[in-house]
Amino acid sequence: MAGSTLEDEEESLLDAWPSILDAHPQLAMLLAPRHPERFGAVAALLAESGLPWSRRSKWQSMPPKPLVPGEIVLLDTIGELASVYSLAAAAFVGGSLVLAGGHNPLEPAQFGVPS
Amino acid sequence: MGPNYANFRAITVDLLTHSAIHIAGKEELATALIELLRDTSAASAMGERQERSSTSRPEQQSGAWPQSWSCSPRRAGPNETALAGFIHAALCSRIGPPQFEARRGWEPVRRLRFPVVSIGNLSTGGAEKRRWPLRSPGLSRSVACLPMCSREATAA
Repeated sequence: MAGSTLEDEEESLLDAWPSILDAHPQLAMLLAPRHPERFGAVAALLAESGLPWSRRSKWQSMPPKPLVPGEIVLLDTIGELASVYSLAAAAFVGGSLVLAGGHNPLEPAQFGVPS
Repeated sequence: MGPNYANFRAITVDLLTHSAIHIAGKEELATALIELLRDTSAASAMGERQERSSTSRPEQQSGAWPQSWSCSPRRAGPNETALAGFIHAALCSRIGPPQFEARRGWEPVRRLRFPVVSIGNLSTGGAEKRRWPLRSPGLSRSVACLPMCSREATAA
């Protein structure tokens, strides 16, 4: 789970993703940009990457399906991030790879998710 | 957590002492996550330590205002600093006593019967991305000289 990510951080995560998948091929990643106005830009980045991905907002119009290993889900909905942290095996808290000061590390910590 | 943590200083220091992974740069991201996921029992133990840390010291969030102010790239003038000091003192006088009582165990934990809307990190989980919290920093900046001490302002 990568939450509250800012510009440039998604790119770093996508760069790292193939190596992580090589070591742990069963993983899927939920990617939640911090600012809703960037959902479109991050979707374009995912489309360019060639990696399998989907948008959370599209799930409402599709039949339920399990996550595919390697899939990246763009969490482009409002108000779900804090609870989705509880599902994670590991969390990356955004705003910290770039000079933004970092976002709230207690959000994953309160669920006992290592970060 | 990455190398540029300036917000939530007390919390991040505490989490790092409970084995949170500090990534020195983006080139270390993959290695750090692979290592974290390699040993699930160690990762679970780390998560439990962080959970205990996050729930045992809720008063750490009480310093969010001065911490945000001190790391804001938009440095304030003397009038704005004085105003921020006044607001901080007012908040402390209002929030401090109940927090002190909670720390001492004098104030019982109560579960409210109605939803609570908070703007900012008054509670774990922050403001969420609702319309008003997203718009309020920009609106406030447009009508006042005080730079908003928000994550948006810090990121700008």
